[in-house]
Amino acid sequence: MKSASESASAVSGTPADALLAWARNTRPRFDALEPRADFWSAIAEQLPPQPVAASSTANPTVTSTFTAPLPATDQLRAWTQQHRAAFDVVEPRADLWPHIEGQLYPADAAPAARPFMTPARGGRPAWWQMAAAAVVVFGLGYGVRLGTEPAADVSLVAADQTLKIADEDGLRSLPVVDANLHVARPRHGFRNQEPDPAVQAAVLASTVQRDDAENGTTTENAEMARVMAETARAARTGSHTALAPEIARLEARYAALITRHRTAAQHRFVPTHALAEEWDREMAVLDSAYAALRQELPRNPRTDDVVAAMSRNLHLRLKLLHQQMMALDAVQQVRQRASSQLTPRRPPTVNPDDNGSNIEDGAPGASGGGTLVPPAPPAPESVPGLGARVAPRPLRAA
Amino acid sequence: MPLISESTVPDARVPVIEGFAYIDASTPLVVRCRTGDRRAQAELYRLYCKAMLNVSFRITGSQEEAEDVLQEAFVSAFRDIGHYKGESSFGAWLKRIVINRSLNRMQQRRLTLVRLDDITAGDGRDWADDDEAAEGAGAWAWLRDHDGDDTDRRVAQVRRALHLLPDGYRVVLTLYLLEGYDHAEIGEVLGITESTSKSQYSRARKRLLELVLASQRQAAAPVSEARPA
Repeated sequence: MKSASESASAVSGTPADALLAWARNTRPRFDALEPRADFWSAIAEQLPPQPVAASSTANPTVTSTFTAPLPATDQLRAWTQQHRAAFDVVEPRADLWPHIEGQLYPADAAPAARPFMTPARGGRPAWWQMAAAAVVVFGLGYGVRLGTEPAADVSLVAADQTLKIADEDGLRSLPVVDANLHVARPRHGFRNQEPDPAVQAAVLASTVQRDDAENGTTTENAEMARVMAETARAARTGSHTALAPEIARLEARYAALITRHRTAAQHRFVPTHALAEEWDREMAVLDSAYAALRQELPRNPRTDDVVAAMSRNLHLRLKLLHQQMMALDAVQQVRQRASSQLTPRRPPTVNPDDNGSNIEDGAPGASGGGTLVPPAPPAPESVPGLGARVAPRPLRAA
Repeated sequence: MPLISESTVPDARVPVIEGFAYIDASTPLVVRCRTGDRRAQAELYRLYCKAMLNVSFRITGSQEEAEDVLQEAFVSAFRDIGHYKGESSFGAWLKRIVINRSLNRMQQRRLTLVRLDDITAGDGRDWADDDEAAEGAGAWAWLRDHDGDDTDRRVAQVRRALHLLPDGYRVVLTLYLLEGYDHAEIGEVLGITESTSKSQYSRARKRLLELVLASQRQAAAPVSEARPA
């Protein structure tokens, strides 16, 4: 009689057992079917949500559940997710970061509280402090909040001033102004960042070019962008002797463009003294800020910041002039339209009493072919909507 | 030109797609933040400040409070950056801080029409009524059918309707619809059960759609009808 173990041994030697062994050896080859790619999403929709690890406010730890697809059953949720970006409509205030930084690094907040005109080494205020004071006076006139600015950053104060004018004239949205937020760091709260010079130069160049494309401004700006970029690079890497010719080129180009705009503006009719004075005032402030920057350049270790502020100052002046020209052209079109409606068309030879003094005003060249004297204003009733008329005056000569 | 465009802000909730794991774009900045790099901190702030401000604004319903929360949250996050273990994206971690602090603010205000610890209380109306549910369905159909046509206006209507809701409804809807939280997460954040979150969401959803429908009807009403006789 065979024992149980012998029986088992006998069974294991049967052909049926060999089949089992073969099947085990070749097991993977029986898995011929592949699951469809969308099986998991179908399954995941039916699963309960994955639990989240407990967390507290002070030490939050979140277990990610984001690898599971969103359930497709809630159409409202799908719709809101589709338009998710449109729900973020609130913009953070520009001065939030300084508050946060002040809490993170309270020790750094102390220098900003130092009185502005602290004399250097106990003596008279240094030259740059005097220059800074001059700029601050202008800034205060414009209501710029300078109380929290560090004393030595003349370039940043001037940059802030420039931005203020850009604000007043609705030019803040221009790319060239935004691109220079790196420079106006105190205003925007990034005081402790050191801008990458290559990035800064590229941003300057590209934004000026885009500015042209979007606003239809002068094509010369392409060259200006290149000059600005080169100047910015020289400011970062070169010595002052290398920088000087670059700055000279920059100034020369802008001076030419600004002069040309101003000459063209002098042919236009300026509707009110107040407007002309306002424009002159803005130019004077920008002139002053630029002079302060130029004076500061050889002394300030942050040369790239100063040069960038100078570039923006010049470019903003050009933009202001361009804006003024557009405004003057609009006024001129209104006047021409009004005149053409009120004055019947007639051939020049019909009226023998016409002594030629009743010239259609405003058109370039109509007042004497290139003379800088502005044309005489039309009759008050011929320009509706402009309010009380005053004698026109030319813009200040460049 | 914004220096950081919307498209460059890393989405905290980007899922794994077809085998390609999402790499959190803020990871290198977080690494630098751990060493006290202030420039990296400023960059992270710039990346996330708008998104986080809006998260808080939707919960608190007040921009002033949302700004306070934003400050607290970033200070806390940068001080406690060592507690961030990288188990989720930095954005998700930061968002949780913002949400928790926003809810704390709301509770301090004690203005909740729907208490957060008893969120099923609702505002006294039974929004499960069949007729009103049908109205909600109509509003949803209106939103869906006009998608792509004047979408901004419809999104604005939903936004306004969200702000008209009682706090409890608004919080649940915001977390579920816009922040991508599921009901288990919402329950954990609000200290309620998952099923409570679901039922509250269902009611809030109906109420939201009714408000949207009312707003749509108001906008579509002829001027002559709107004027008193």
